[in-house]
Amino acid sequence: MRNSAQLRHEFLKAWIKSLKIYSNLKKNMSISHRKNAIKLSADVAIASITQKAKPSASSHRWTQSLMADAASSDDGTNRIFVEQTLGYKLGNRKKSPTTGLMTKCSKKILRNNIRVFLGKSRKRTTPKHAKAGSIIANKGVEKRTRLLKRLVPGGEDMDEISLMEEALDYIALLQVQRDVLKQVAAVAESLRNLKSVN
Amino acid sequence: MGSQENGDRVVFSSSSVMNTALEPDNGAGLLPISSESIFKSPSCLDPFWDPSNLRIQGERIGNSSMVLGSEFGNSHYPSSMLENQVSGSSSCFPSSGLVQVLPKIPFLGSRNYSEMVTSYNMDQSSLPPNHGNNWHSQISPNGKRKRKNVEMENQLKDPPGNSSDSPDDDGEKKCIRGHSTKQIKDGNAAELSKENYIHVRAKRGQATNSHSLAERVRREKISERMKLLQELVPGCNKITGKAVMLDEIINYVQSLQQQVEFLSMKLASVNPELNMDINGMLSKDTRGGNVGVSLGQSSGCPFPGLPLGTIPGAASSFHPALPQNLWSNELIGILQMGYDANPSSAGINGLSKMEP
Repeated sequence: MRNSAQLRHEFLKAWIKSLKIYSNLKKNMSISHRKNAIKLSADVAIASITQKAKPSASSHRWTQSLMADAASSDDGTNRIFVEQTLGYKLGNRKKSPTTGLMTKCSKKILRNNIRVFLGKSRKRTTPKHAKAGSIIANKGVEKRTRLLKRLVPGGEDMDEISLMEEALDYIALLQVQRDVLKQVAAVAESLRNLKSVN
Repeated sequence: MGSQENGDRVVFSSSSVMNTALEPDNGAGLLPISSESIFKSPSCLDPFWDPSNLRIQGERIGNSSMVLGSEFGNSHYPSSMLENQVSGSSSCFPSSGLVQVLPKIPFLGSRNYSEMVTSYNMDQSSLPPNHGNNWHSQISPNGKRKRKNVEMENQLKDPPGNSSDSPDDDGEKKCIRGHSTKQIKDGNAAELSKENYIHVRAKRGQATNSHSLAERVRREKISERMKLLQELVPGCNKITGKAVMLDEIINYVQSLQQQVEFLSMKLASVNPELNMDINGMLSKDTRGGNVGVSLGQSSGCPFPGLPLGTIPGAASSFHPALPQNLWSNELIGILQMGYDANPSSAGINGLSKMEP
């Protein structure tokens, strides 16, 4: 595991590089554009360093979905930008959110049908009220996992276990992003204040 | 019954018996036996007597040793009996009195024993000789085997280990009865038997239902990852429980995302050209004086370890207070490396002046 300092190094490098590429592509951006550009390049930078450092991590959904999101915005410049940054062409990733749902649904249907078929021979072994508490508790957990799925990019059709792994990675890299951005912003701001003073 | 006892006692005494701490003069036929000896002389066996079954049952009986002891007039069951069972070499049973005694012991649940016994009778032939087999490797190739059989094997294989779950165990043992004819279906078997089997062993006192075993594996995985997440998210050391933990995680992720957004907005407002020329920024720093120090405080020196000597050239122009700010020094170092690698970006690099 790389330590956080190293991560921050790499992120900063990648981020500045991607920012440059972006500003090459687009000139005279408004402030909101700029903000989005910064975020975008930060995301792409994160994804790229993850891929470089840990080849296995490219299997991580969130990197791929980050890049897909980045590449899929309205104008084509974003896509070009992403590709340039990463250094390779992004395959046309067809986002098929339905497939995950479908497999889940079909599995559920299968399971339910089996239960129905065998339900007659199956005696109720645990009293109903014994499980009520755990059911209620699980509902809360379900809600929250759904929320988490929405937060983590690419988390929609993942099972709980991999969702947690992805969340782990995502949190770690969000922290890196935040720290670096914080410092750069602080530098920039203090410089600006300095200039206004002078 | 007496004759039966006698017969059994004869059996026991003739076979090689491994001693436990139990004394030999058991009034009602409580004799130490070794499971090996029983296996050697199957013909003497009472048909109801599955020695391995009884071994398990014996472990349970050990829990209620006083009951049996009083039944048979034995004043003591050595507590070391349980440890002997752990070693696996021998166990103490009442002999045939077990058959009588068991129904009287409420917690054992005659259903368990009778069920095991009946299934043993039914499926004697299909019992695998090798008890070391993992339950799972038996399920998937023999999908058609009756669940009871599998569960009985699981019970047979249960190594005496944790004994803490007896109430839980009773609740879950009940499930075994209900699944008399249920085949093992895709749901769990498929999950576990993708390419590689995940080998699971049911501990003592835990359910041997394949569903619950799979669930247990899954739960353990989830709790592992929860622990990792706890370390990552600040302030979650004392929280136990999935729901609260998930809450914290969600809040943290949301706050991180918001911070990133806010910071990028801030940067965008400060920097109208998106050039991020940090070299230029820092060279202005020198004229600015002690700006670097404040940065050092805000950043908390996150990048230890880059020696100042690596910074090419720029170090000489710095105010002596600045080298304390390791962060900016490292940034310079990085950017030097970065700029060298990207000669194409020289055009933008030329815009070094930041607008006020």
